[in-house]
Amino acid sequence: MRAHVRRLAQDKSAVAAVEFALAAPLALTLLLGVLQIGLAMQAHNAMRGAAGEIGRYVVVEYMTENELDDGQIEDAAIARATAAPYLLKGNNLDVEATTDAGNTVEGTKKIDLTIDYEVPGILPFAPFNVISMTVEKSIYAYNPD
Amino acid sequence: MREYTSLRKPTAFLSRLRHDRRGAVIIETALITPLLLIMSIGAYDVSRLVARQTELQEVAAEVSAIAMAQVAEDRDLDQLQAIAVAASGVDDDNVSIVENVKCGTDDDLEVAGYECAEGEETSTMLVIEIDATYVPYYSNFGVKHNIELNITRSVQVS
Repeated sequence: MRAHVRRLAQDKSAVAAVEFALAAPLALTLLLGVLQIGLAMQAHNAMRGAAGEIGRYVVVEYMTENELDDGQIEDAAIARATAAPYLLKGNNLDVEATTDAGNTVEGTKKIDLTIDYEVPGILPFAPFNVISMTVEKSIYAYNPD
Repeated sequence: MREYTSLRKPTAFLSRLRHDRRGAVIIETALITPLLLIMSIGAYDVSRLVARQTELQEVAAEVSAIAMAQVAEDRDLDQLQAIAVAASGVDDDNVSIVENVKCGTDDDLEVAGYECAEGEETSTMLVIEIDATYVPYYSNFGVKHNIELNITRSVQVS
């Protein structure tokens, strides 16, 4: 037995394979980490894109006197953000629209849109698995009252 | 460790020092570290500058969104200016919001009240201008070189 261990300690064959086995978990984690950050950045862009589209939608609807309430805006935002090209995951998405009662800009209604999203993790074994992000947008809609 | 007993014979000492290869890595590190630090600070500064520029563009976009939502009678340039000042954090004098007149498809804008030629369409353009000074991080190290940011955004309001 001892002789076997000694031979193993002196054995220089397959060094590359052994070193690869040691380094692979770290290297793969780093690689997937880069991918994870990329996914987070893509999701952030998608949130901003969806927020922009909903802002435009609300403004146009108010101009045609279709006065959407906060709940309708939230539903529209979720529908937009989960559809192509944004494809955010509905379960990880939280949208909140609130009418700003303290808005002093004459002739407008201010709606604060907050989109929260948890980026799906692809590193279940790493210490961090959830990246939470928030995008906020103030929407000013025509409201003559 | 070799002993440097030959300090009394500087030539011999220097000659030995010249051929001494020990500690080469640490000496190279000492030479390259300041350069690396300066480059990192520079990269950090550039991204901060871009972030500031984006922030100011968002302020201009918000002001134009408000202006587009309002009808002309409700528009209050002073209030719009106050909103831009509050959101951008620059001084009052650095935000200017003026109404200009655009005749037909002219590139140049005329001052408010200008009468366009007969048959030309008259539109009102709101011109939002924000000036800001960006103070780079390296100002702390004696290099004074502030960067002026200028954001101009025109939006047709009628």
